[in-house]
Amino acid sequence: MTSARIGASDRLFLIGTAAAVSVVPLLIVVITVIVVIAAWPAVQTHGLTLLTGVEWDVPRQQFGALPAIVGTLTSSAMALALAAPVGVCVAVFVNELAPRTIGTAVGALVDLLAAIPSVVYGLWGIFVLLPWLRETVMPLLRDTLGLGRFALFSGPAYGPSLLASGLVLAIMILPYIAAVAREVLAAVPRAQREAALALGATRWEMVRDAVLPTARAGLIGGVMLGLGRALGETMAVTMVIGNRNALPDSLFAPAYSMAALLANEFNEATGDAHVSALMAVAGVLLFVALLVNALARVLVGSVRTRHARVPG
Amino acid sequence: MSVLVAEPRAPGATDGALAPAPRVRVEQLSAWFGSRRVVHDVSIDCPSGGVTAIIGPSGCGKSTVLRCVNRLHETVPGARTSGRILLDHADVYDERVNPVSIRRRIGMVFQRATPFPHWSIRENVLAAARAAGGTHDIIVEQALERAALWREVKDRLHHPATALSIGQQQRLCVARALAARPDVLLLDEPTAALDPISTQRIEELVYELRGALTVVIVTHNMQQAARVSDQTVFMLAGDVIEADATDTLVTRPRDPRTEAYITGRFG
Amino acid sequence: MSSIVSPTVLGAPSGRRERRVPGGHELANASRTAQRRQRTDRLATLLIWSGAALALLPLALIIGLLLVRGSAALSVAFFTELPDLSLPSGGGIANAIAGSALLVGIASLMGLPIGIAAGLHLATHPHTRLSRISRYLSDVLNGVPSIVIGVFAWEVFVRPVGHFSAWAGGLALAVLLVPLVARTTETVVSLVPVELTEAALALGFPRWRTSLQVVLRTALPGIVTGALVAVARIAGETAPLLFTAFGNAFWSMSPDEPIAALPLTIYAYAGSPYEGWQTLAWGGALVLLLLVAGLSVVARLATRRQLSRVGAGR
Repeated sequence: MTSARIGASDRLFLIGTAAAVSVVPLLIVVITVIVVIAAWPAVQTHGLTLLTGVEWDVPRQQFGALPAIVGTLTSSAMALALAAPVGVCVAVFVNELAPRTIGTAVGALVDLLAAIPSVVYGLWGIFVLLPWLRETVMPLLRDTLGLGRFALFSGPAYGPSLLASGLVLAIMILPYIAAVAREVLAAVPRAQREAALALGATRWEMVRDAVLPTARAGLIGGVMLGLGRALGETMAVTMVIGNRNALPDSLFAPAYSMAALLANEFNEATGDAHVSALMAVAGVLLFVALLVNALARVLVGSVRTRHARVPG
Repeated sequence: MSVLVAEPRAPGATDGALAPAPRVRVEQLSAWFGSRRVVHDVSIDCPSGGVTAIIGPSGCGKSTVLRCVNRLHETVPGARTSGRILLDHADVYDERVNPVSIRRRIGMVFQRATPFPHWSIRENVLAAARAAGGTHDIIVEQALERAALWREVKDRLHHPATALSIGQQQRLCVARALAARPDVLLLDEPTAALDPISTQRIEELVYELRGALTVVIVTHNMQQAARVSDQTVFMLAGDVIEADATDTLVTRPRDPRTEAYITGRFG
Repeated sequence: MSSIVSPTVLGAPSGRRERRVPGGHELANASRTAQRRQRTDRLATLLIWSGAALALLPLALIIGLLLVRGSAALSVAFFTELPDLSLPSGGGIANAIAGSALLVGIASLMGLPIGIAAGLHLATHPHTRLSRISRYLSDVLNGVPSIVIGVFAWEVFVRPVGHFSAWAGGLALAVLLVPLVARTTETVVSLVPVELTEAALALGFPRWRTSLQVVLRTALPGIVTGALVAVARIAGETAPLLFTAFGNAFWSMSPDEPIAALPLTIYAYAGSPYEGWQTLAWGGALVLLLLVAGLSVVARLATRRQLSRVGAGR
């Protein structure tokens, strides 16, 4: 601080608010430490088989989380592949193409997707998405389009599946990707656009050549934020993924995710070994989420600060 | 630096009972933002009860000098000062001095009107006055009278301050500063954002305050300095170039740079 | 200087979009390229429009169905009775609504003061090391899966005492609330003009009075709306409550016991085979959505008004 003498009440106030600010880093540390300590017995007993084992058999004390890890990663990847292009489309539409009123309305409506609670997505998934997949989409892909020849699209159409989980996740992370993409596009300097237009570029050429490349790091950051959401998303996934603890061999097959595994088994955990193994799964989830979010924030932040002070 | 010669005027009739306003002496003041030094060893002597104008082109450090007097400069992160500023004989920068108590003795009005948005007119006037004593109603009326605003707002004291026009808001800020009964009033380009009529009101106000308060006004308007001040200090690039009685400085500047500024050849 | 600009440059076709360029092989080529570029432009525009439309489709489907099936479930009994399998309607979810209110109340009591104080500090001391780290980690904490927060809360608040409770659920929600509120508060507070702070300091206000009476007071409407959005967001959370509040089929308002919550009830009844319970789930989902989305929309409108007002007051 300055050399100024600070009054006692000012000092107290500063300490108070600084303590409130410190709560955030403290929480991250405490959460990490608590989860790691609780997972430690399982890590000692099972070691790497926690990550690489394919058998999750509680009575036989086998805790291999690979199926859940694979299920989490594949459904998240599928969600990204679907949501990222649509999210960027929304951002380009709202920021670059649409008339102002329509753009604002579309932006607000897409934001509204983020306000729908996860469990409501799950409810909708159970009663609308799953029957539709079972009766229309899966037969269409497998038989009518003949994709059944590929393992990815083969097998019986139950409904609850990796595909269902990927679709629900795509809808759920769309608003996050779109919001960051919009913010990042808005940070692209006006001069950059005008320069492209002055060279005779069409509007699409301006977006493609001047706007999107400048915003690339931020867009990747936004997609990673979406990935972070998808990895940890629990309720909707638990309700539509099928909760089968085995390595999935098809997008149509019921599968599992780490978050769903926790949601289903934690309350019924039998014995400390089981709890500890579940804590290890939570630890993996926490670690991946921290990593992905930390990276995403750096990417988004870099764009924000680089162009923060550009007027217009 | 030159010792100033302007005669302090007789104290105003309104505050005859109070001790005379202090003399403000800036001695060897330097000020920095981070590693950038924006004020170089400046010394200025503001006589008790007089009006001192600091003029100069924008960026010359005149506002910074003003903000050092009430120790506002140091609230900007990375900002620091050296040198002394004396109120009569007490150093504002003495390490035993709490800047808060200094600021209670020194009022300040800024370039932009800064009424507190969610406060009523009355609450704004009383913002710093509670410690000053006296009945609130009387404080409010007196302060608004002195700021020439009472007649316009007396029927709506409980309305939000931001409902006033910008010119009225600025006079409210003057009233708010006066209600705390300061000995010194600092004005940082108080009319820069105002229309001509509001500007005239503020200038009349400053003229009336002389004697009761020691006033320092920063302006980049030569004519304004000539109208309201007893003595004028001309600053350029962080240095005091010339200081003299306003009449003298305006009509017979000694330094060619002062003359260039006054005659409008730069700035 | 101006003679450098050659007449040829000035005379060149000003826009390549020109359809008919008179004469010249190269210019004809250029016009074909221009046509192709125009086609690409139109195609890309069409694609982007359809992408945006595609984004709105699920929203329309979900909200539409919720309105239809959810409103069919709403009745006086729905809001006043307990769940009951023996009734064809399934009874009501009064306990879940009250439980959610209690959980959100506990979370707000813990989380809001800390979050707002933290946001105030972030905005008034933006560049200190503590602020930089905390700002970054707030965003990271926002991204921590809520199920992990639930597991953490179980380990800290449930395991030691040996039973589920509303306390544990409320504290888990509070952990989610703090970083959300801190960041929205920071945003709103940093919109308060620095001149107001300086004016208060110049009047001899101590720092704490400046912060509370001027800065916080000026930003208050925005802080309240930000807090509303955050509270609405956590009111819809299910995962952190699974192992903490746990749910309760009966009426309970005791913070020391397992307690029902709207999202938990929806989750429990969504997968049930009984139509009466499914109906409860739909009705609960509609109520939850109206609560969450309604608060967000109200807050958004209010924030816009407040921003324009602060702008006028400057």
